[in-house]
Formats: sequence, C-alpha cells, structure tokens
Amino acid sequence: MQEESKFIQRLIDKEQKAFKELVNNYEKKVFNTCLSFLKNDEDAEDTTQEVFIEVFRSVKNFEQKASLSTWIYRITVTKCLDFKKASNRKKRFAIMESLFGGNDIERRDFPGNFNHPGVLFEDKEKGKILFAAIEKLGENQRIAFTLHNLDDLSYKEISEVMDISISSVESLIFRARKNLQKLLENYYRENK
Amino acid sequence: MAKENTIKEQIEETMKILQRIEKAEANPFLYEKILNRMQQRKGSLPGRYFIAKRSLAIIAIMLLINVLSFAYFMKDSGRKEIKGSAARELINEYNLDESSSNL
Repeated sequence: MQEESKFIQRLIDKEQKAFKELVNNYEKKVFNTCLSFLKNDEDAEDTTQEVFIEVFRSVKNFEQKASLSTWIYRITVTKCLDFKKASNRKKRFAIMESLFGGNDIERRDFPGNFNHPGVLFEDKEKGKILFAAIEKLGENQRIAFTLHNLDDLSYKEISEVMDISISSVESLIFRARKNLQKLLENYYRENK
Repeated sequence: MAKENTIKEQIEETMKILQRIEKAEANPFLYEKILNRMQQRKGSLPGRYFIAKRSLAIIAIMLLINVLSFAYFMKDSGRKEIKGSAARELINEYNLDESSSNL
C-alpha cells in the first residue's frame, strides 16, 4: 500500500517514467475491459487511450480510498459506458438518416458481428452468439457479468468498482447468468 | 426430448467459451499514441484560444473605428449646419441676398 502511495505521488508529480510504468502495467487489463464492453478493436483502443489520459489528468484528485487498480477500472467502465451512449446516439441518427435515404448503417455497429480476438478459432461462431446475448443484458448485470467472467475480477473488486455491496454483485451475476441462458435458449430454438 | 437435450448442450457449450477466452494484446505502441494524443491536445488548445482572442481583437478595433468615424462625421456635419445657419442670418439682416438686391 505504501509502495502504491509512493507510485501515485510520482504520477501526481507528473513523472513521465511513472506514467510509462502505469501504462505498461495496466494496458492489457484496460484494453481487454474496453474490448469486452465495446466489442470493437478500434473503439477499445481509442477508449483505452482516453482512460490513461483521464488517469493522468485526475490522479491529483484520487483520494486513495480504493486501490489504484479499482480506481482505474472505475474510470474504464465509466468511459466505456459514455462511449456506448455516444455511439448509440450516433446509431439512432444513422437509422433516421438511412430511413430518409442516407447512408447505410455500418455493420460494425452491431455487436452480433463482433469477433473477440481472444476467442479460439473453433469457438468463433458461438462466441458471436454469446457476445450478442451479453449485449442484451441490463446495464448493471452486463457490467458485473463482464467484469467477473471476462476480466476476472473478484466479487469484492466488482463491488468496489460499481460501488455496491458484495451480495448485490452476487445477485447481479446470478441473474445475468440465468438471463443469458434464457436468451441463448430462445436463440437456439428460433434458429434450429 | 432429443431436441431439448441438443439445445441444452448448445447453451452449455456456448457458456463454456467464457472459460476459454484468452486476453487480447494491446497495441505495442499504445504508450506513444497516448503521449501523442496528449501532446496534440496540449498544443491545440492554446492555439485555438489565440485565434479566438485575435479575431475578437480585430472585431473590437473595427467597431471602434466605425464608432469614431461616425462620431467625427456627425460632429463635422453639425458644425457645417451651424456655419450655414449663421451665414443665412447675416444675409437676411443686411439684405445681401442676390435675388433681393437692387444693384
């Protein structure tokens, strides 16, 4: 903890070496979280950059009540949700535009086409179905489920990131799993 | 029944993918890209601010020139009017009007 405080102080002092260390230590985690939430490589990389810029910009306001890792995850989730909201607005506008004879909507906007780079080749097709189903979950269920199953965060870490109790996290993940099974069941029934 | 079992199996198989997903690698030049983006923002903001400040200054100078020239012309035309009316009074008083002259 003391080590972490020292490291945070170096970041507050705008030490470039410390910032490089921060990026090296967290780039994979942040990028993978962004990828799980945004389901697009370019958007994930763009948001990853924004996360680190935000961390660097607001580290002086970090009160150290939570660990640095939790704080970074919190920023990541917030940035991803903001990005999604903005892109949903764009998507709605694009739909309106296409109704009035404008451009076709880009296929990459649909999560059903997402090909996660970490999914094994033989799982690719089922992976697409799975990610499309995750996308249909409610926001809190989706966040908790994604952080636990794709980013390997513990219930305690998720409770800190989402600022809710551990029992709420358990309940969210349980319901997410049940809903996901139902969604998959409906999909396989309809596509038999 | 067989169909139900197949669906169940498919759901299980799909859910199992979650355990097999590997972590994706971030861009190896991510750090440089972040620095570049930070630099761009740092550089663009004062530039934009300067352009806005300069155009405001130009507008203010042009407004000032307009107001001053308007004030100058108003003052000048007022003085001409006063001059004109004083001359008219003098002509009338001494009957210097060309049309009324008997010479």
